[in-house]
Amino acid sequence: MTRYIVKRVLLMLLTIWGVVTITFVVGFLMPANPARTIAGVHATAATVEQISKLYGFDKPLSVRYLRFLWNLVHLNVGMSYHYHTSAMRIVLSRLPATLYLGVFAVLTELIIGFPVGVYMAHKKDTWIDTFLSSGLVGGAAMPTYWFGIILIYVVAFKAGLLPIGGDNGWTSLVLPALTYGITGAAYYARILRSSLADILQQDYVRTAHAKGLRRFLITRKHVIRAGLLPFMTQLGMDMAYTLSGLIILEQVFDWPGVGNLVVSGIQYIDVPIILATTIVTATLVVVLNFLVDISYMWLDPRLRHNPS
Amino acid sequence: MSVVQTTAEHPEVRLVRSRSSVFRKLLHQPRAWVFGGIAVILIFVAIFAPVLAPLNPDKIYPNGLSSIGAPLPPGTRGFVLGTDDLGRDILSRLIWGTRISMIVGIGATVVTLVLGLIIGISAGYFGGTIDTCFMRIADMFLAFPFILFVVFVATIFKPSLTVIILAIGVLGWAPISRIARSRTLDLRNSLFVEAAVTQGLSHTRIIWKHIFPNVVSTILAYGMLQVGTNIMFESALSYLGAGPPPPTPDWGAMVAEGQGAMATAPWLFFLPGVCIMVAVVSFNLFGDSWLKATETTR
Repeated sequence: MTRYIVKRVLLMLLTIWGVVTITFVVGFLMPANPARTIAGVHATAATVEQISKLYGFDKPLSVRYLRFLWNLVHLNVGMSYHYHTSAMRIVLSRLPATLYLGVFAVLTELIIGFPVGVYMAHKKDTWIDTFLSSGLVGGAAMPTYWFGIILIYVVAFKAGLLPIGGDNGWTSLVLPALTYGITGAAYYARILRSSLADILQQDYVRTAHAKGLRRFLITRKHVIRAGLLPFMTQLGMDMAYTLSGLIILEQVFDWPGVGNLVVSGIQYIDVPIILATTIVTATLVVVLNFLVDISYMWLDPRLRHNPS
Repeated sequence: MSVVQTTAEHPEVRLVRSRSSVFRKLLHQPRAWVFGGIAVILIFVAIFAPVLAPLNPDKIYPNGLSSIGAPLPPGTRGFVLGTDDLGRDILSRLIWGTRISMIVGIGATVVTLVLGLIIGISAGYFGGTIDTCFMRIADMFLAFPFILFVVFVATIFKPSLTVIILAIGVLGWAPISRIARSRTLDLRNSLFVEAAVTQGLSHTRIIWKHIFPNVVSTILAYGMLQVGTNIMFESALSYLGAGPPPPTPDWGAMVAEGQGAMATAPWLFFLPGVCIMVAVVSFNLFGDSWLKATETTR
C-alpha cells in the first residue's frame, strides 16, 4: 500500500509538471510581443526592448523555460500587467473565497441530487421517473449563469429577499449555492439513478428482500454503499469541471474569488493572471484527484490489499 | 457476441448491415425525430440567417429606443422580440447568433473527433509505450478546468471565431480519444481482427477497413453529445467576455449584456438563454438516442 501511494505521488508530480509545461508552451506561442503588451501601445521601440530585456523575453527558449520553472517553484509567474504586483500572490489571496463558495455549492448539489437520484432509481420506468428525467435533462442543459441571473431577478431583485451579488456574509452565499446546486444536481441525480438501478437488480438485494430486511435498511446498507464508489469516482473526475463552473458562477454573482479575477484578466489581456489561475486550479484538481484516489482505499477494503 | 462470429467470415456484410440498422433504430424512436428535427431546424436557421432575419442585427435603429431611451419590449411594431439597450433588433440578433453557436458547436466537434479518433485508435491499436504516453497526456489535459484553459488560449491569441473553434476543438480531444481507445481495444481482441491479422493484412488496412468503421459509429454518437456541450462552452466563453468580439451577435454575450439591464428589460437576458437551452437539449437528446441505437446494435 505504501508503494502504491509513493507511485501515485510521483505520478501526481509528473502530471503537475506536464500541466505547467503545456501552459508554458501555449504562452510561448502567443503571437503578440509580450513586452509590447506590458509597455503599452504608445511606448517607443527602445522602451519595448528594455522591458524585453528586463523580463528576459530576449533569451533562448530553453533558458526561458528553466527560468519559468525555477520561478514557479518560488511561486512566481511574473507581475500582473494590470495590478503591477505578483500575479501568483493575487490569485492565491483570492483562492480561499473560491474554495469557500465551492464547498457550499458542491454540498448543495449533493443534498439535492442524492435523494432525487435514489428516489428515481426506486421508481425506475414509472411515470414519476419519466417526468423527473425530462426535468433533469432540461436542468442539465440550462446555462448555469442564465439560471443564476433568473434567480437574481426573481429572488433578489423582484422579491428583495437576498443580496444581488458581492460578499456580504452568509446571505450572499445562498443564491450562488442554489444556482450551482440545482443545475449540478440534475447531472448527479441521473448518474446515481442509473448506477443504483443496476444494483437494485442484483441477487444480493433480492436475498435481502427475501430474508425480510426493511426496505430503508436495504437501501442504506446494500444499495447506497455499493453505489457510492462509482459516484465518488465521478465526483473526483468532475473536479476540473466543477472549478470551471465556479469561475462562471463568481462572474454572475460578483463573488470576490479567482473567477472574478480571470474575467478582469480577459479584459486587460493580463496573461500572468490567467497563467497563474490556470496553473493553480489545475494543480488543485490534480491534488484533489489524488486525495479521492486515496480515499477509495478507505471506502473499499478490497483495494487495500490490491490497490492497482 | 454472436455478431462478431458472423463478422469473422463476412466482415464487409456486417458493416453495411450494422450501419443501416443503427439508422433504422433511430427512425423508430419518436424522441430522435423530435430532437433531431429541432437540431436540423437550428442548422437551417444558421445557414439562412441573412434571409430569415427581418432586420440588420448590428444596426442601431434610431426608432429602436423608447422616448426616454429605454429598450423596447417584445411585441413592439417592427421589432417582434423588442430591442436591446442600443436599439438593435433582438430577433435578428438571436437568428444570427444561431449561426455562431452552430459554427462553433459543429466546427469544434469536427476538430475534436478527428484528433480524438487519430489518437484514440493509434493508442488502442498499437498499445505499449504509445498508449501509455497518450493516456498520460490525456490525464494532464483532463486536469485543466476546461473553460479556463480555453479562456487562456483565446485571450492569448485574441478571440476570433477561428481561434475559438480551434481552442475548444483541440483542447477537448482527451475524453473522445479515451472512448475511441477503449472501443479499439475491444475490437483489437475480437475474432475478425485476429482473422485479418492472420491473413497478413497491413496495419493501415486493418485500421482503415476493420477498426475505423466500427469505432466511428460509436464516436459519431458521442460527437452529437459533444456538439451540445460545445454550444454550452461557447456561450459560457462569450458570457465571460472571451468570445467573438462585439458587435458579433452571440447568445452568451447577449445574456451578459442583458444582465446589466435586468431592472428595466429582463427579456434581454432571458431570451438568448432559452435559445441556448433549446439548442443544447436537442443535440444532447438526439445524441442520446443515437448512442442508444449504436449500443443495442453492437
